[in-house]
Amino acid sequence: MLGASAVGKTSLVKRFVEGIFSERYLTTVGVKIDKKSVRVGERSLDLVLWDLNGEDRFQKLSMSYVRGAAGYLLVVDGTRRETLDTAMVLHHKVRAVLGETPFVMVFNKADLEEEWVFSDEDLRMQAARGWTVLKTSAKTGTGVDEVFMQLSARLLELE
Amino acid sequence: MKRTMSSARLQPPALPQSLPALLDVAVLEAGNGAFRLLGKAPRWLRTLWPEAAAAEALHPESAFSYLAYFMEEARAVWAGEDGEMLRSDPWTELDREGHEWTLQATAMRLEGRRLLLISFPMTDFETVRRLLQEARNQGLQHHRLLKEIDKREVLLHCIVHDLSTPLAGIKGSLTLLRDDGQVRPEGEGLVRIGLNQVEKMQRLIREILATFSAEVQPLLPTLVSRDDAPDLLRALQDVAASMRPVAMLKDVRLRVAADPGGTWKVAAETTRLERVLFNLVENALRHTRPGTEILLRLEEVDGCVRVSVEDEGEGVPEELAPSLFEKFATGGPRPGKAGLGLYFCRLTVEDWGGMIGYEPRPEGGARFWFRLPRPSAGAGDVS
Repeated sequence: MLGASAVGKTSLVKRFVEGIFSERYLTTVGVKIDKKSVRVGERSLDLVLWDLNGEDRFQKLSMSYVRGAAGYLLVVDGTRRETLDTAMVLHHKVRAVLGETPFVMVFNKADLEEEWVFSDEDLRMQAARGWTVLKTSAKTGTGVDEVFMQLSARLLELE
Repeated sequence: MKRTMSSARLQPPALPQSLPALLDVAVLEAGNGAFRLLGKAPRWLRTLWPEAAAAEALHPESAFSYLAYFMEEARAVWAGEDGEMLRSDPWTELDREGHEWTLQATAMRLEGRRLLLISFPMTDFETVRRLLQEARNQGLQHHRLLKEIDKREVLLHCIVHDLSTPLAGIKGSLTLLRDDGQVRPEGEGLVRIGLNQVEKMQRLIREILATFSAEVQPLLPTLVSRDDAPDLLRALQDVAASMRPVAMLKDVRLRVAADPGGTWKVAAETTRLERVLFNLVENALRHTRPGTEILLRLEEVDGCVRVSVEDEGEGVPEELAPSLFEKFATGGPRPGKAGLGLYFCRLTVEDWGGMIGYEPRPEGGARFWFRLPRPSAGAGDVS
């Protein structure tokens, strides 16, 4: 889980793994590790989710953590434009370490869409690069399972 | 002479088996392809990794995924010199009940032995997290405030372009109708009402613009030289002269009282000063009774110039007085007023280092006043 701080990485994991949401999650310091098994078609996959601390002026993401990652979610807060910039920087850094690796770009906080600074056209522009771009709301659960399932499917395709 | 000791005397007594558990530290020693636990397992380890207490060959990276990453860096330490040590970042694991456990690992090489210690974070993890949380919350709050300011800018833009332009068109059309004599006598009153309403709307827009721009302007220093400083008496006389026709319509007298020999230069800027005076006089005109007088008095108080605007109306209800100079304080239902006039006055006067206030007149009515410092010699920053 990669992205700027407070974009909702921990909330997405909690929603996906435990099906819950809280407004009161504490900021992640270091790494939080969670696990979930998923079924994609006839196959099952054990996901070990590394929820990394957000990248901002207070904490930098240690690139050594991404070594060994099979794939990643690049999380953007739909209400904050600068979180897309952070995501893009992280994406380039990760690619320098991992090379071509499956990922999904996630625009989170779809429940606050009236406050969004991105239009559907903005999302289409990202998707036009050949990326998978999805909207989610960890609060309502919208799109959350789909994000993890899409990434899982892509991981299995590579096997 | 070099003193030697027998190996029996060199061998220290073994540490108590329960010491690691008492210190909440899991001490593991790397062997051939696996680890073994030294001493008794602390309680948290028995919760998170129950097998650790019983099994002989342990693989901590299978119990704690984070360690798979950490081991790679730890190997360099274990292969290095005695006394080398590497501490991991904190990481958080969940137990079977979903409780979070934040841990930290330390790899060290000691007397040739390769040790892995797992414990609660050595640093004050909660303090660090609380500080980060606070800093990030403030960052988000800052971001929200910036967005609010942006929204206000958009609002101002709408007011200026979407309201002012059609209003100017309406005013122009009504003026042409009035001046061309194309309106029947019975319609003239309606045209006049229309023009009055348009002018009222335009005043309201000016008031809103003046207020919100005043919120920004204090950030910018206003440089006024003594020679350029406005004369408050002259400004007061100009404002009184411009408002006298309206006052006459309301059967209200406007009187300026000041020592003619006095000097009334103040540290201010003429346009905004006149706007402040205009707002106060207009406020008095709205609340006084016909057949009365509004007194505009100038006096010197404590080296400053004080202006008071006194009317003979009903005064301000006691409960409203404390919030008179706050934003959107209307003092009751008054159509067409946004409650920004006095707020603008306060922002502007305080911006210049002055003070503004209200007090009831002992003989009845209201007294609004403000005082401004005199300009210093030469150019000066009066913000």
